[in-house]
Amino acid sequence: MGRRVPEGPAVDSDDELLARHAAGDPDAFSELVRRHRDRLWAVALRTLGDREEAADALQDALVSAYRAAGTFRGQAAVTTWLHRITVNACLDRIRRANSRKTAPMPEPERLEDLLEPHESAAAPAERQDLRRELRTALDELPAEQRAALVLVDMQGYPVAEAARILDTPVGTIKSRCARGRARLLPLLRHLRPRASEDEGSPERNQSPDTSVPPPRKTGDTRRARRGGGGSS
Amino acid sequence: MNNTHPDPAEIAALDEDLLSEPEAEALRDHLAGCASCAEIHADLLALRQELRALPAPPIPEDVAARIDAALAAEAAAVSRETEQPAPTLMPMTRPRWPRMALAAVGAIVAVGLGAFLTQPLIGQSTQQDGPASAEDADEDTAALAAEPLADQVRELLAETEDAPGTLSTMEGTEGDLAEPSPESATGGEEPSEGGAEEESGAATPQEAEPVTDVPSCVEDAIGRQEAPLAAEEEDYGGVDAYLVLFRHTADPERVDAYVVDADCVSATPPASGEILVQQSYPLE
Repeated sequence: MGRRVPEGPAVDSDDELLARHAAGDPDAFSELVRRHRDRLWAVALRTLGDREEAADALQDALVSAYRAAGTFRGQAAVTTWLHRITVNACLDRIRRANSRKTAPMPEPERLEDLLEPHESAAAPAERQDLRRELRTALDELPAEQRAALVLVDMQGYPVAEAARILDTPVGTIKSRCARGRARLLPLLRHLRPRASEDEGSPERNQSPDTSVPPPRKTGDTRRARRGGGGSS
Repeated sequence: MNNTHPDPAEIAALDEDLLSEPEAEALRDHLAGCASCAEIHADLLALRQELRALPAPPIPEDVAARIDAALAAEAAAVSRETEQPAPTLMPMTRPRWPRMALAAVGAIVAVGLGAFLTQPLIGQSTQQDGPASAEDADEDTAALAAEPLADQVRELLAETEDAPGTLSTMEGTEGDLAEPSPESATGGEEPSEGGAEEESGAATPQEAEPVTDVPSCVEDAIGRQEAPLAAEEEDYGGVDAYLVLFRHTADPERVDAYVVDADCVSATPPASGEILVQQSYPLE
């Protein structure tokens, strides 16, 4: 059963691999890791925004999963479980860093590392700017909002899967995504200004409990408009 | 058209079906007639597309190699251990019950219960039916991992320090007080938070979880001779660790908190643990 992973000669399902690992098969866990590490890496890197932190978090998470495999009872999919351990390791690092206060946030220039080299070379400058700014803005979101956006919007997981990974109700994930997007929005508008933007726009309803900054109406916007008029 | 525009967060909420039907309808009406809000709506979609399109680099070779090495080391450690019946493959997020609880904790229990037992039982049960019990049930380890260290420290202190002055009463009592009675080791089972039925005895703390024995390798890592004020096994985002509190070396108003990787418990050859975090916190 579960022979649906079309790779390699031994196409065990994740569950089978984990069971084999728990039963003492020395290779099973490595295979499981090989199968999922790129995705888990992307989640860790995007959640933490720092290569070294992400490497530490993923290593901790996988070692911990290695040991805890015997306790996996199949309530969730193996991938969900691996993602949960990884995301928790990341969020925990963020919280520890916050509580220490001394831990430096990622240097702006290190954020460049997050783009693939060929990508940065090939993409048009504007797009690079946007991506860099998005990356920076993501790092400024509250960790929970960022984790939700990473899973849902960046990794493309269904909301329900993100909810299982984060062990949070679906509605909470949706709300974190919505608020996170709203916070990133001014950035997108700032980088891709439109003709109808701002000028004399009436007050926006600010609901008191959202932490969404109002749309930019300051000099920033005006400066960014240069390309926006008719050309683009 | 209205004089006020909806907050972008509300427009984003519409896309996630988070609004009530009347709200959603009103917002759709507004969007239909308001170019600037419709633009925000469109930009939210564009934003999601941008996020989705951000390149996801595969795991770098060096990171993959590092992780392989860590797992291989883990495998080697485990295979050496399997000769003896090893507890290390067991759940790491559950506190282990004390084989021999700390004398210091015994002291806290003894002192704390003085105040505790004078409360009518009814008071206890209402107190314990509070929000904590509801949440602990399904959040368990995730919630633990989600707490900032400062909160964990505060909670651990609160759990062990029911009576004001407990800490000062600790002065010079280390080791003097009796071992906690065996009832406090109620075997493997995590107590339900509603465990107000504590007539079983003077040695059962309000919440027994903090009473955790500290493995010697953890003590070695910290390197302090005195008994800790409190200790607890915690899950640190998947990392099994011990949170151990000591009185601050200089400032009586503070405690020193150590988070030590529990890896060392299963390390062969024996090694002292790695301190993950060391931080002092004010007593409140």
